[in-house]
Amino acid sequence: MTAGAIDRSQRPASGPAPAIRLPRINRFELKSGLKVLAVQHDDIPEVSTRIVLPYGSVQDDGGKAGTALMTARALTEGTVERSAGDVAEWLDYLGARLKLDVKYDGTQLSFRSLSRVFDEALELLAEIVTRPAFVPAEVDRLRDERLDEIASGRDEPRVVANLRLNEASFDEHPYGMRTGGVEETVRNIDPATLSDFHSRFYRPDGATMIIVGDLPEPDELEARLESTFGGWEGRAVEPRTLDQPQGAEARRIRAVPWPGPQSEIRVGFVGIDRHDPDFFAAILMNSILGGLFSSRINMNLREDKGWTYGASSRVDARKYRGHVYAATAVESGVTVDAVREILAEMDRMKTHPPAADELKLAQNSLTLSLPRLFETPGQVSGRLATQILYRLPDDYWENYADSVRAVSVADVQRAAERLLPTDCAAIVVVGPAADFMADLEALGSVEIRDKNGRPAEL
Amino acid sequence: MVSRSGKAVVEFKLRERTLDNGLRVIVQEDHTTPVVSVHAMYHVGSKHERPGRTGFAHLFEHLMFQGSEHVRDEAHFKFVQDAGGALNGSTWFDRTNYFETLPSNDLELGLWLESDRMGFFESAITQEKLDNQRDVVKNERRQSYENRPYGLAVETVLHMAYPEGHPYRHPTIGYMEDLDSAGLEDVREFFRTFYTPDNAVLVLVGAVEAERGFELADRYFGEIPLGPGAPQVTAPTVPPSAEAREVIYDNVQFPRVYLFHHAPAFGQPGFEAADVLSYPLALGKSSKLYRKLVYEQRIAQDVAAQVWPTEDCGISFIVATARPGVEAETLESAILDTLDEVRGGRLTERESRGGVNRALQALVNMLGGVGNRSDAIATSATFLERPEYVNDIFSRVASVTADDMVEVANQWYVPGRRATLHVLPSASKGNGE
Repeated sequence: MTAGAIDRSQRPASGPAPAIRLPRINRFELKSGLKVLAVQHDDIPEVSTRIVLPYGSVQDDGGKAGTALMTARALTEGTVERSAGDVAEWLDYLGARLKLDVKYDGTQLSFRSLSRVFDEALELLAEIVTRPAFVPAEVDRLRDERLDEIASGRDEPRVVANLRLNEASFDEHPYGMRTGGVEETVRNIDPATLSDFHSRFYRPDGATMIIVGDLPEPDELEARLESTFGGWEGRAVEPRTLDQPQGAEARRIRAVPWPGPQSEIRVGFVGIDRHDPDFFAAILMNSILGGLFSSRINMNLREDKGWTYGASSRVDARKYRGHVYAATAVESGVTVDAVREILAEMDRMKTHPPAADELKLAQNSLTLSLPRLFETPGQVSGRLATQILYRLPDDYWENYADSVRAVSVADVQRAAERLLPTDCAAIVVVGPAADFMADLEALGSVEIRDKNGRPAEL
Repeated sequence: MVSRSGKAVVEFKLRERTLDNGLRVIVQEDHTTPVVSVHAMYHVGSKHERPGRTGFAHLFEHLMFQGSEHVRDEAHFKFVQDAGGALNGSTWFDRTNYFETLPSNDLELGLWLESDRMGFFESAITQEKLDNQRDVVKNERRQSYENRPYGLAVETVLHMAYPEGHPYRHPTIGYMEDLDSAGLEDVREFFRTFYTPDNAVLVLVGAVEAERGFELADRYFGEIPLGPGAPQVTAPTVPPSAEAREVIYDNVQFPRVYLFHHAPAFGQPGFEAADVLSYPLALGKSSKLYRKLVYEQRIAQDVAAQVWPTEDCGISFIVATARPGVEAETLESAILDTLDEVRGGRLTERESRGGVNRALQALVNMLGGVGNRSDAIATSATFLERPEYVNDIFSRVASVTADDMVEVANQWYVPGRRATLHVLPSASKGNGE
């Protein structure tokens, strides 16, 4: 073989853009009212079956935060037909996997199995979702396990930082509570709490099932679903609605003393809800600020200064106004300098709007990645779940690229003005606080908290 | 495995060609999604490091993202992100890999980037970049190991399990003091020695016709000269000896037990049996250890088992974290009782089938995406000289029996091949426990 000379000085030209493989969705509804989205995606002999419930931890009774999470966890711990041990044995024998995802606004139960055991997996899924037993001894055990898990989280500085930031950003709003509850609230949960939550929210009329993979023929699939989930009855109660969270009116700086070679840093704000007209401006602003490797915060803190392994930012838009925040872990000697640089980069988003190529890169990264984001059954299912949970239009992904490309430099700048009011930032630092306290106080008054978030002394 | 759509098995059709400079190119066409994975794997990892230079292979990996002759500083990430791609690299004991998943119309971008750093890296490297990435890597060590609960356990276990001078004795992240001693000359020498086309494999998986893949690979990589022959290192199997035991203290509340066992290496007889055994042993709520430690006795918060895919001699871990008030010794003896059961043959046909089923599900799920699939193909090619091993894994996993697992437990999960580490809360130190 011979190598022809090539011009290495230029990036090779891209070929013609391929058509994106967006899922072709077969939508139908069971007699019970359960909505189904089925997508044939049979590259591999696997099926992803996901139940999406638009009810999450904000539906917990305030004194029993953690109910939504524990209800989901209790599903496999015994049904009216089978003990916890027997459910576990059958699930494992089939080689099926259940993943639970309980967030503030929604609950997702994702079930994965090889397609050869799809029928059995579907029957088991129906059994655990529609007929859990909430056996007292099992619920007591789950509660102890959750308490252990909360305790273990106190050993992880990044977990402590995330929790303390949530409180600092959202204060008393339900979004300020941990999705899985805290020690005091979890202790109040008993079997009746869970069966009550289940009877109110695990109902077919509110639920959507997303099935993606190597599926049976549509008629057969519908028949299988009727025979497995047909007995699911009842109507979900009207979910609790929340007030929109409000951003703080001044800086809140909290330091958690932690002996270690690094400090975990978080800077957060109350952001936007999923239907905010600035949603696309906000995600582009985030891509430029800290959503990508080559974003400003990472290039500054990592690639210029070498202070961290990585620094990033996120826009988490929820049913109500969600979170906008930056996160990093830096060598503890530069803790306050790093906080200053993050705040400065946030302000720079307003004073130094993105250059045309900076915006273009952010737009390209969001739009040209679409083929990659619909590759596996799990990815397809996850993208559809977002649509369901936030009631996005059916053609959301078809129009996604246009929405991203419509955002202008001025839109990004406006989003930065709106979402990054650095004078009112919630700032959390978990690190050797005594070493940098005086310097940190130059940024505003500092409250000391312990690992649990309680007021503490240095 | 029979799927509904009539596919008899998961089988990936591989095409392979070796360029004149020794670069092995493997293409697996898959046109279902318009993406392509470009994966370059070099046969060099932490086991090739010289004494006093631990962590160097990984630090070098970081430098490979800092530009090359025709790719300006900081541009590598930007090009891939601007194309809608995803990218990363990783360093293992035996190999280092670099990969991007791109829309299929930007395959050439990936080839251009990978060939430029394989062929035209040296002129772009500077002291400033080395110093910067050294700081980044030190922070990676702090973040992922030192300031993470139990974060130093694995490197402690490796140090216990392997004798002085053994290539697997140190962690890929390296030791802080060694990171300081690497200089520019080390970087150049390492590059010239190991980053040569004949010490690498290039795997393309996705929407690319095989012939076009070979033609483009030759166009971009063909002019890179053959290397002097990278000196390979084989990590020798450690002969059975007395069990190694240690206790370390960490800033944690709950004791954790690490049971390391030497194990079969990737692709060697018994590897799949050991891998599948992890399931009935500790993965899933029906597994023996979960049932006993977490569910029945309620002495552990969690338990897990894994076998690491290493090239020369294998590594396996069983790890359990104590519940409040439970001692490490209690956990350890419960784990050892369970291992005794398995060695004694108490593993039912049904437990065994369930293990196989879970392992197959995990395998199919993992290989479903082009990125992981190219990694598995490159690993098979690099460690075994047999890329098609990626297809054998299915049948090998499917045919693992209870007897195979009992045998592997008797051969490997024994005191003479074990290192046991207890990680205890610092607060308990000096309490005379």
